[in-house]
Amino acid sequence: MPTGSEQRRVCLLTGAGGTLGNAFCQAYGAQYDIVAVCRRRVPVAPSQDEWLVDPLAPDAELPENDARVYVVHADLEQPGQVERVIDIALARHGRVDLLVNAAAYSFWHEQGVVDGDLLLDSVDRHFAVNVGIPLRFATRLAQRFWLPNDLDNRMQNRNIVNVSSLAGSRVYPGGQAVYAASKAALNQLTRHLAVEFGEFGVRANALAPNSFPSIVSTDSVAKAIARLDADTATGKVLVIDEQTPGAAGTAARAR
Amino acid sequence: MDQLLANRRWVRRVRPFPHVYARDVFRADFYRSLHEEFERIERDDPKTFERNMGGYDATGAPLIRFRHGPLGVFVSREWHDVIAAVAGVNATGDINAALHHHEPGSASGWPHNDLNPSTFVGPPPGPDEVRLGGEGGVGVVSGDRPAGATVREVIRGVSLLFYLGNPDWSPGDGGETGLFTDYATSARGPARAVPPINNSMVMFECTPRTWHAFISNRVKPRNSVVMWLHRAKDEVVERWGDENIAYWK
Repeated sequence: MPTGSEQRRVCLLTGAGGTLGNAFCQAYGAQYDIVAVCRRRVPVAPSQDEWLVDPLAPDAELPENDARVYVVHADLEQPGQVERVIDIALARHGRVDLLVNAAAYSFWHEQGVVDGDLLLDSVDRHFAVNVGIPLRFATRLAQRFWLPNDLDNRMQNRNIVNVSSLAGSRVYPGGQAVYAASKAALNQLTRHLAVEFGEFGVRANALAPNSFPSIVSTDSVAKAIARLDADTATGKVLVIDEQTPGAAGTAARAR
Repeated sequence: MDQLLANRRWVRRVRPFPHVYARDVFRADFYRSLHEEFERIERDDPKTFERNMGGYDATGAPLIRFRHGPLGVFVSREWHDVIAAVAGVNATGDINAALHHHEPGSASGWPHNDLNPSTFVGPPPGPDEVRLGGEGGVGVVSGDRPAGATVREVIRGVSLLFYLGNPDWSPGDGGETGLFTDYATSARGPARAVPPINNSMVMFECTPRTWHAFISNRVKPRNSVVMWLHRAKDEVVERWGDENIAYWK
């Protein structure tokens, strides 16, 4: 796959094959070097596994191929996989400037927590995927790269964006109790990470979008990730919600 | 060709083996003419589809019969050269192409690599010519020929499936082209399944490892143009050995 030589920010993105991950890769694949962590689905973006070709000029370089998504398949729930992914990212690029924890687990049971054991049985997985894995990525990245590089971290404005949900601070119907609790925990984890990682100059923020793409656009959430990356904020949970009923676009506010 | 192609961005993929995939291959009006031609043939000339592919649950009609209509694009030298260049294959100008039809409920095929020999009549075609399977009464697969006919043996170099004349496809309908990582684990299912979406195609250079198969279609028919370009046998023997050519049994 074609690669350019200019230095881009390196983004380690989990959940890259999901709705948001795919949108982020498509929108920002030419702006970042993205290490796209996927379980099965992969983003529809040029990568080392697939790229575009002009049938009438098959050897021509295409601007679309300037995107540099590097796909890493991993089941992050398995022991050692987070560490393996980080090792691959650091071996490939030598640094990570932006960690986006977008991988998530979501199981809703409309009849609620008292209806059998389905939601009880989902607790461990919700917290493992939605809290434990983001924490492990942040911790291992700090231990393996960020801790001794505080000056460089500040100069490069390195940071973490945890993709949370508006459900983490509001009560919605539909049996979201356990999912919402895990996202609330992720919000609070983010605030703590912001304080602890401030020591070595890494910011941490969370995004709390309403449902995408049904209520807010997926593109607006992807844009918010890039905006947080370029910002100086830390310890914030950025809500992304529709402005007013029937209004176009989205509104964002930090909490 | 520039006037016919709608999509100048085909997708080159490396897994499970190198192949190229494209959606919206032709401009809408030209695709419509292909679609209508296919429906006309099915309606007016159904007997042209023959069940003559051993162990393969489909009927086929050689494209040479329809080369003077819109389907003739697939056996044109221009198309040949585009496909050969995308595949990176030094193709001979020999094309074998057919319409394939799978009735609903057709059985899945067996994984095969398409590295098969083909027989064509006469001397090699010139740079602006093509030679089509079946020309001169020569059996492209069987090698049968009229007495005194001069023939050449070449090897399939590029396989291409173009989907047309199909009902709207949804996941679960089946009828995909399965691409497999290897033969040994093929029973577990394909690593990638290419859906039969109209005006889309998949193509690949034939090698000993290009394992692919038709996947059973459960409720809807599956129609396609299937075609092969060819390369010199010497080149194949040099790269992969004569023992890896899948001679017809």
